[in-house]
Amino acid sequence: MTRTRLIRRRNDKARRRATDSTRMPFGSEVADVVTYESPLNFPTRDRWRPEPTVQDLSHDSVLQAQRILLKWSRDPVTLLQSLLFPALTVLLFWLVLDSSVSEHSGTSNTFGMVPMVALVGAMSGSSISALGLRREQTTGLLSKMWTLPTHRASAMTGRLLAESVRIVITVSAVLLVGMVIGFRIHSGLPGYLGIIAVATGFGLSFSMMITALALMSRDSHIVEWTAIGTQLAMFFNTGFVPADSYPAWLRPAIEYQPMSCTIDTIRALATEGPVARPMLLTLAWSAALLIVFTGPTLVGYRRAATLN
Amino acid sequence: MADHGIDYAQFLMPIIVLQTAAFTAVAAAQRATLDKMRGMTRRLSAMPVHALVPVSARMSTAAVRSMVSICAALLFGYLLGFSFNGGALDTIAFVGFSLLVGLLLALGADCLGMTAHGVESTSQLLVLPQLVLGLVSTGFVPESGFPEWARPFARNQPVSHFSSTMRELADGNPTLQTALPALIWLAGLALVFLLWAHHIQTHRRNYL
Repeated sequence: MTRTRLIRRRNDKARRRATDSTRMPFGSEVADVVTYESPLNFPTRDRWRPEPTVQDLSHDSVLQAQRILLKWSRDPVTLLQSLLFPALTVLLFWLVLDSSVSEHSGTSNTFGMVPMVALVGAMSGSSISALGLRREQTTGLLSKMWTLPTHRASAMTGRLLAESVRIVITVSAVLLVGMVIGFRIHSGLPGYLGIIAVATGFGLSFSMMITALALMSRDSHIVEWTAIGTQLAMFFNTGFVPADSYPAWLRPAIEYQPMSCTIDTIRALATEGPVARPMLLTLAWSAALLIVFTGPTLVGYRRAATLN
Repeated sequence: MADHGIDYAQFLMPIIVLQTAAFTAVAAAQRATLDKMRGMTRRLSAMPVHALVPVSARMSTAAVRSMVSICAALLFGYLLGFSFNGGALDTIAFVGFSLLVGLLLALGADCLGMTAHGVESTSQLLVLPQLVLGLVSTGFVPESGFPEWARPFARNQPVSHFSSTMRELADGNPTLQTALPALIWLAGLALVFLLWAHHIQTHRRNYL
């Protein structure tokens, strides 16, 4: 808030436009409007367009995403959680566990560890978004958006857009730190883009789940539950240690859980291994999460925006 | 780890107990911040209540919580093969030491919670020392598991000393040589946190 300076000035340009335009509903009142010097690119009033169009949806979604991303980029906690913690976790895991694990299995586990931490980073960050959504519900921003002449879906699509940007940044940061400890993408740029696509797809479907849970549940412990869930999942997947280190009865559950499938896909993409099977499993998991949780998210969002 | 001739359940138990102490501390910080933000601290300070009651109440909660989580950790440890091999005195010392560490960390976290302005920021900030001190310690892997340059840090930091002291207590052969650095760290932390708590207590108006 410190940087958005409040500037009172007579906006001559706006007045000129306003008197020219027959579409403007409020006429010359625009001249006295208080303008905020905002880093966000709010549309001027004369660029009005009908609400329920695709153009309107995409524009409003981008605007919402910009707003959310701007807020995150100025919040040290969010930056800490989505950039510093995953990077630090990669380094520490490598430092503490790599020599023991590679002694046990014969090969370095960097190619499992790095994708795993990237995914955990992408997943644990989704609680920030869910918490933000809840706060918008309690402060009434969602209801306000519902009544304003914006596309009603934009609050959700914009949030998902912001989520995907966050996931791309987090995953890229972890991969970059992974480079330091020996992670390499042998397939080059296409491989990197593939990894980003897989991680974003999985991260978004996970985020959809967390959002649905946050909107459906009454208590606000969603952050804690997500943290507990992701921390547990961190120890039970094929990225942490190879699958054959787990006891036999646990192995199928480890191998086919969504995180393991995604990690295997990323590993295969990076090392140019056989990618079809894990990719199909990952797609199936992501699609399943989306199919199950999109409905509850939409219902929850409508309820959150209207029942206040 | 079994290949190295180490019983890993026995090896790991101290760091798990210390981890529960860290979780207790995070909860304590959140409780202090919530008390402050929801006006509980302000209200109590306006009522005929002894000035030390709020902080000692929060500490009592932390003690109960600490006790419960230590018991839970020990129970699960037993299921996985951990056991106390020393006498009753060693066992009591183990539990007492864990409780003391938990309480001290809770006191420090309580002070942090009183100075903080948001619940999320404190719990996120506390993850950082938990991650670094917890993982880069001799609690999870022996010192030889670390690269050469990380060893001095891993060897000398408090969590390593705490866990090796507790490991010796669990095995029933505590030595002063191992316990002394841990006790010095504990005394140092106690001094810092008590001074901090004293400062907050004597400047209560600034922390309402």
